[in-house]
Amino acid sequence: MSDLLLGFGDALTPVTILFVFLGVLLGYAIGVLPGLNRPAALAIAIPLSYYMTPLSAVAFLIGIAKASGAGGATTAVLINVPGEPNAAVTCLDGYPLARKGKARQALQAALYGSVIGDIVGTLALILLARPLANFALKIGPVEMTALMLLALTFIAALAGKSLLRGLAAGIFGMLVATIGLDIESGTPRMTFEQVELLDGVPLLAITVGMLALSEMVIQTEELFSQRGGAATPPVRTDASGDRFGWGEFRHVLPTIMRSSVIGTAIGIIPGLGPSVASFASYGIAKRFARPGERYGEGELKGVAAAETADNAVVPASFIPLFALGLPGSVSAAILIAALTVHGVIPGPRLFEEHGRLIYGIYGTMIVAALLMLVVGRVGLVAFAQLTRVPAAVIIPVVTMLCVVGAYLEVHSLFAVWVMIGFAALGYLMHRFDYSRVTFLIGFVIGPQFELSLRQTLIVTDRDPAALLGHPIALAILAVAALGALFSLRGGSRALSSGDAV
Amino acid sequence: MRKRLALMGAAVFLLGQPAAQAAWPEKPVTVTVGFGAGGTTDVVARAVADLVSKKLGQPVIVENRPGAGGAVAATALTKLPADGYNLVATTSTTITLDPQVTKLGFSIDDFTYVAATGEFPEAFIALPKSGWKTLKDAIEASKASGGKTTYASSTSLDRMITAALGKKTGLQLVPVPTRSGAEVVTQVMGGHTPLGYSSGAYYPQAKSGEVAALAVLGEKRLKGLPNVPTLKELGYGLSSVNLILFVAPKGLPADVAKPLYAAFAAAAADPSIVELMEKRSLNDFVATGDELAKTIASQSEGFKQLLEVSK
Amino acid sequence: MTRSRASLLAEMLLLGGGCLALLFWIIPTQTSEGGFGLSPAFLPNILAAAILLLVLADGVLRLTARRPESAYPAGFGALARSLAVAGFGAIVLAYAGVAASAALTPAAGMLALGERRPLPVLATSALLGGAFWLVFR
Repeated sequence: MSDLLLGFGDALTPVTILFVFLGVLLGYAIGVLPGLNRPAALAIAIPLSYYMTPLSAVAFLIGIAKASGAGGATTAVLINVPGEPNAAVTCLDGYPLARKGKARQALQAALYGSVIGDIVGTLALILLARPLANFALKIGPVEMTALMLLALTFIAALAGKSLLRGLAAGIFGMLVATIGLDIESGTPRMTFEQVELLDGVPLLAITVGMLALSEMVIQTEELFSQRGGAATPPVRTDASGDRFGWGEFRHVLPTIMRSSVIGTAIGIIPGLGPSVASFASYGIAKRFARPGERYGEGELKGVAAAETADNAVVPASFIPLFALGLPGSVSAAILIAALTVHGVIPGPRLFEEHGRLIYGIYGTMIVAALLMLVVGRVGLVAFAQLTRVPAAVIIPVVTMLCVVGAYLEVHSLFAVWVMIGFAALGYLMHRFDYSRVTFLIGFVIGPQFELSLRQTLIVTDRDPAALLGHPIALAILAVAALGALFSLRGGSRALSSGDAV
Repeated sequence: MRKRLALMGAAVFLLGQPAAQAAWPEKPVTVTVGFGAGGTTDVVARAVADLVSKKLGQPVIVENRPGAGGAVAATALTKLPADGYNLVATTSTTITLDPQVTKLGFSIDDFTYVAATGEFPEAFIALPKSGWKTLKDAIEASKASGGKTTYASSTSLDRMITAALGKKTGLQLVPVPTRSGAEVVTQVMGGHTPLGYSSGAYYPQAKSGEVAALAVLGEKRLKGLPNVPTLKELGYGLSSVNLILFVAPKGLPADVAKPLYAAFAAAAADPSIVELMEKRSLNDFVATGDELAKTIASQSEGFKQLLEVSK
Repeated sequence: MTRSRASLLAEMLLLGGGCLALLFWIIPTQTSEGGFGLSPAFLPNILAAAILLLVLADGVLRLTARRPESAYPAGFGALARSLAVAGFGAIVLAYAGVAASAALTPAAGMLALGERRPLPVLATSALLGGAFWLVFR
């Protein structure tokens, strides 16, 4: 008990709050800027944190980790460029809303969703860490494979204009993800003798190229056609209907609560991560759509679903770390690094050995959530002005951020050229209605799916009867089968009514 | 980094004679870590670099260039001049084992071996409720129940070791691939695989008793886990030593090598480094220069033989 | 403008050909046998085959549907310009570093988009170059 009070007291000292604030500011900025993203930012921040006290260091890193997710929605809504890969789904409804002159509504739905999701995830961490971590341990290779199959059924929900082409793009994403060392045998696959490809195509190069730079090509095209006389409606600002009031909040709140739970659940399980959470949460929200809600054309709930789940993942992914000393995500692994630098080795006895520090960290996580709300609310007013900046400035600046961001992740020009190559590919895919979002889902899910499948084949000795010993996996598979049937029905409708779905 | 390279090239070209006359070092030294920020290799490299910088009187810049288990950084280093301003910090298996398993752009002869600081505490682990005290118990029990068992694996090194171990004991050890040592521990703690091979992530859990270490892979026992026998003590005649290694491109001039080795030797002996290694559960292992080169050569030869055996 | 049947056919043949090349040429030459477990080529082969099937199904459905579909946009001017600017940024990055690229790439991009007024171009360039110089020098 005294550890708890002392810890929360530590969290509320001005110095600690200052570091959380700095982290939130930096994280928000990284989140807003396409091309720079969370793992890169944390990796840059780690050496800085070597010189701080343990609590300040962790507070700083937590601020970055949390706020970068919330910031990612900003450019997704305003210029259709996700600031973070997880915000790819936010674009689907956020940008149409902005085009309808409802940018502020979308940004506020994203912000409140982010903060609530974050708080739910944080509370789960503080109150239920040990039981949830023990549950997460039960998710073995078989259960994971079932979960991955379930996740793949969401591709159909996000396929865009054409179901078959959306599926093809998703599978192509999985194919690109097989490049690199095969995890089971350690032999290279499709690396064309490039050492730089042994770890696979750099994630940032793919996401930035596919989503950000290719979008800049598309907008360049629009800019030229506008000048040529063909009018595309520009993003309108300050429309009178652009208010986020109590009514809008009540409209999105059920989605936010559901997505918080989805995000927390996905965060607990190592290996899934924020991108999967936002895809899944959006897919589920779409499946529960009420009549009249048109996802993909500017539905506020779509924005809230994606952003809430993405942010709930970050604190939830710390659960295995604090309960068992095992990292459940890249952010958690980086936090371990920061703690060990200061002589705190995360392990099962973290609470007994460093109780005060851990409660201090919990305290800073709540502080970070509140600061995120403040920074986000103030930032919103400032960033909404982005829509006034002419495209002829936005496009070149984003292009530069893409180039520099791809370089900074691994300090390699190779990644920059790969990024540019994928931008060209992404543009062509867009032009021929092959969804870039499903490509990304496939790319993100592919490696985990393959790994779990291989693990499953080994631990079950390729005996299907072994599945009977895994009731959780069977339940997940049943849900996945239902989901697939559901989307096939929707899919055949989509096919028969042409590609204008 | 390329920029620095280009400038350096220009300087060499303009001067005709690289700075051979002046006393090394007359500008900052760059250490490129072959792994991401915050990993064991990175933390140790940064701490050592800090002390080396004090000894040399020049800043030492630490950069991270993760990829392919250190191979990306090592490959890049072979293309840089051997002037003492470019070093790479990685694990010794990056150089002694990986080129033998995967086609890479370097071999053991492409480097000058500057220093090794610390040895990874690799071990076989299991759940305590299995009741196994040492790896021998596990092997006997698994042999009795079918002659085949799975274990959570994360490197090509452990696959090679277990293949050789399987040959010796007649027990088939099937690797379940995972991405990291932490995932190995997760699989074992979740009860999804009966055994695991982890190079260090297991240590806090082993200390607290959540997992049991059944055998360590080094030549001697770990200070932190004195009751865990080595594989050799158990009579399997196998060992694997993975070191944190600092290398330079091959052909480092003697007038550069001498002060450089001395600086690393002094840094590695510093009490703060000794304490750091203890905290990160690394065995203290310090070697520099020719002595280290011999160790590396014998490691590489050992792996070659192991590969033959495990085929 | 409606999409021509020839373009649908060409698209199907091109992508299908790509999949066949993957299956029979690229994947076999770029993977080796792992020695144990599932073959490293297993998943790539399945995925390439699945794409092939989807592409064929999509093409056949569209060809038989005889429903007019709007034509794909034409012209590659925007793509060429954007890639040229990004490529220029990468080259500057290689030879002059991050800050120089941060300064010159946006300027090049603005010029490529037809912005000719010196003040906005120079101001953007100076601002970004300065900011990146401060952070990454």
